[in-house]
Amino acid sequence: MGSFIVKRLFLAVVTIVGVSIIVFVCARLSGDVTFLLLPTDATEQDIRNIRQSLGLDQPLWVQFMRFVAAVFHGDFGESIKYQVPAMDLVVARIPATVQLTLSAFFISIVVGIPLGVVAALRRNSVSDWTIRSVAVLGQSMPNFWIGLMLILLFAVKLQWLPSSGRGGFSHLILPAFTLALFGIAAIMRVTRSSLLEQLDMDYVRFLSSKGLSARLILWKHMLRNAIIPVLALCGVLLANLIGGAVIIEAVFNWPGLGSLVVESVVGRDYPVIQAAVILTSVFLILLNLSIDVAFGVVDPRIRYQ
Amino acid sequence: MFTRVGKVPWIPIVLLAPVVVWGLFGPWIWPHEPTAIDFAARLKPPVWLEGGTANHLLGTDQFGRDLLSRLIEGARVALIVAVFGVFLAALVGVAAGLAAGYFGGVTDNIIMRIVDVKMSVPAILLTILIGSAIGAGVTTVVAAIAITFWADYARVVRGETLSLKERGFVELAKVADCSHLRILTRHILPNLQATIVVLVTLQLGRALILEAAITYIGIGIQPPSSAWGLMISDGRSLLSTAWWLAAFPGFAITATVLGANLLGDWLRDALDPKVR
Amino acid sequence: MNMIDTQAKRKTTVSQDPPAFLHVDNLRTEITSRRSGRVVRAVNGVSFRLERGRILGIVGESGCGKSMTAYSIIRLLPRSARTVGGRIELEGVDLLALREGEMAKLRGTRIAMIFQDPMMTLDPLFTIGDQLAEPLRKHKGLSGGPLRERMLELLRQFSISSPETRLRQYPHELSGGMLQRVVGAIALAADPELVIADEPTTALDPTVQAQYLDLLDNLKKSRDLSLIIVTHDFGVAARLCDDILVMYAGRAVEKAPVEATFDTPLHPYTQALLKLVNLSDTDGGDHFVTIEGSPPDLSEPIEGCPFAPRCPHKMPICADEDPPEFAVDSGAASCWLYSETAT
Repeated sequence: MGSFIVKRLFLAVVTIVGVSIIVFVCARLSGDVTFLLLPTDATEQDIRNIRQSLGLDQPLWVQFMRFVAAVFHGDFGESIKYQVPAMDLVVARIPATVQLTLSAFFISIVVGIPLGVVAALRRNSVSDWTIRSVAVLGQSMPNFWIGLMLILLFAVKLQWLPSSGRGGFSHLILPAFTLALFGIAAIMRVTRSSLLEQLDMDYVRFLSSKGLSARLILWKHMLRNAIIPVLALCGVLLANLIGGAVIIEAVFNWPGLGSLVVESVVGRDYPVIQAAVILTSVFLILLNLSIDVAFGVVDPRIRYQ
Repeated sequence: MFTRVGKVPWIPIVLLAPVVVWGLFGPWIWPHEPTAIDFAARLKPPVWLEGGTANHLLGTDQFGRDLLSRLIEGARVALIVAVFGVFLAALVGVAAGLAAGYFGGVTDNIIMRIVDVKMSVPAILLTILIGSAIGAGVTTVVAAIAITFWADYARVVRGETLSLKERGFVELAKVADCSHLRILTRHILPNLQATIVVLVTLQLGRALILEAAITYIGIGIQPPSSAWGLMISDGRSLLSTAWWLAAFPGFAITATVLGANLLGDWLRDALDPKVR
Repeated sequence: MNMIDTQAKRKTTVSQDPPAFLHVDNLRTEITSRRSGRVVRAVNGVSFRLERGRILGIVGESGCGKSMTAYSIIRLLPRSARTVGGRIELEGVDLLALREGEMAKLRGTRIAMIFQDPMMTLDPLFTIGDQLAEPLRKHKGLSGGPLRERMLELLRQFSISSPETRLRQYPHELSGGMLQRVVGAIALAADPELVIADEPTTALDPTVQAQYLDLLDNLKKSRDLSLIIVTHDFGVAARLCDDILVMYAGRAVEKAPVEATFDTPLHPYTQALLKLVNLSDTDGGDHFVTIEGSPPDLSEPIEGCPFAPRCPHKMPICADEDPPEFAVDSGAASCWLYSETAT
């Protein structure tokens, strides 16, 4: 178990370095940033000075080492647009994104699992067919467009809910639900197929052969076994929701990380973007690491391998 | 679920046919020049609504441009970009997967670590990173699609290569002193055909959605092109007055993606790649 | 002999027999492939009888329908399979005519089942104690101290060491042989009279196999059990069974007491199988020998005897007409060789 954690930890660090390389390379690709920082009438000397102060006159590998060191200190430079540390800007937006993502995650599970169970138990019925069709249809729609259509219906036509911004609970409903649609479909599909898979397993037939009622077998044994693949999906789902939140925040003007990033890309505010990308990635890497470890603790079979 | 193996996949065909026809023959079938501005016919609703005209079946935008014609032009952009991006992804991913699965060891380790890195950055953030580095445009979209999807091919192809390597005919080819390249292209790659075809079809749909999303946030295809994502983005500000501008491009995307997904499902059942 | 005679003869043999403990008559079970929709006739008109206190071995190659026969009896077929005809009478009650709720009452209390792989038979997320307690609570109404006493007693009956510890353990913590004993203890907890075991020793080590077979034999004697053992292994069948039923392509091709099966096998298929067993025994059983040719595709209609294409004694009639069952000495075989008139 100990060596398992150490190995996963090592891989996590390697992955973080890999992400840093990508961000660093993209920063170089974006060309000379000095003109963004200087007035148009700057002299040669001004440019040389600022290049020196930014370390751009150093060899590439030195620049990269400095970059990595800065990243580990949480120093991503100043936002070009706001003239404050990029890190502070990003951190200020985190609570809004966490609220949106976790709400969507919660909705996905609370709606997705029961739908999947119903679809599996009434397989090939009208309700199963309907649930699955809606899931397939939902996964074929761009979620930002669904968001717009929901705004059109609930905010513009019916005027039940606000169309954008962050405020009370009513502001959260539309963006969280839009973001959750993908998760509902994914969780529902996995729950359904996982539960159906249990039906033909020997342990279920053995439980039946003991004369236990179908209801007890379902609620006590099958659901518990069927839920394991669903839990395994949760890490991937959370990562997908964080990615999806970028666009949804832009659609609903939700003041989180996503709308900050979209705003920054238009203004080519590179320090802010790299801070957001690296922080998000580190979060996801640590999330996956803890999920791996948690599975080792929870499932006795993994622990013994 | 909508299709049955052995039958012609009518639903995917019906859903995909308009896009393909529009993409290939757009200039011959669009009722108006997609960029033609006509201020006299601004913000006309679709024909079946009050104030609509048969001249503009799906209505017009704030410049009086015909929505249907613009949708038809958008099909071309959608097709070219999605197909190109997915093929690029397949090319890179299959090569990486073959190398990782066939050579194993250090090669495998390095490639799988790169896959790990890719998986730990959400696709849209990676796209934004690229977009901010090389600027907005078609190149960004194609690069984003390729970078987002290559890892899926790499993982699947790696897995299948590993199991193929254990089979007799690859061993036999090795004993017969075939070169690595020959073994890979003559013995392994043909066995992966079905898998790759299914994956490409399924990813076309996802690529189309990603393309629309990238374009929506402004780092994808730029005006005056009529990309569907761009049309939705333009329609957003007019949502309360001219809902059709944002709605119809979305329907077009949904129909196409649904068609690609169902075709992929059908192909998966028909070709049954796991058995081959 | 024409078809009408054949049918007539079948009927008379059935109705003349006295009522049996278990009587399976003309059982037919089909599997529908989910992908292609093709229907495989996995069990195609199997009939046999089993008396109280006896052990019947159903033997055959994989895919011959022996497991499907077993699952049909306890009505626990996989989702893709369905029994489409025949009768299964347990002391005169037709199991196939029962409603699912009534059938469920018989499971555990009258009929029980042991599966091939003990690792897959138990729910991995619950302890042995949890899973052993379920049938005792449900069928015997036990709880608390008496429940625990009974569980320990059962585990001891199945020669399971340190039973107190076992109750707290999870399935993955036990060895395969130990687990299969636990499965036996759970299956027999509510005192069933008929136990169906599907390849009960296939997943076990050879030494553990022998112990397990002895255990089953002892239990049969002490509890007056009737057992159906499904196996592809003639060794297992020879060691344990009183009667042997050989299946091929979904049919029962030969039925006989165990000694007769081994001394004077009737059906050419049985003869071929036993030849293989002897061959691999003398070789040390290392390499795999098979009968030439392969079993027929059960989703296609079969003309004549299903074994005819592989049969060394093939006659012209074999390709045209499906042989009925001919009584020979103490057993019976579905083979034209035993017809006086066939050519």
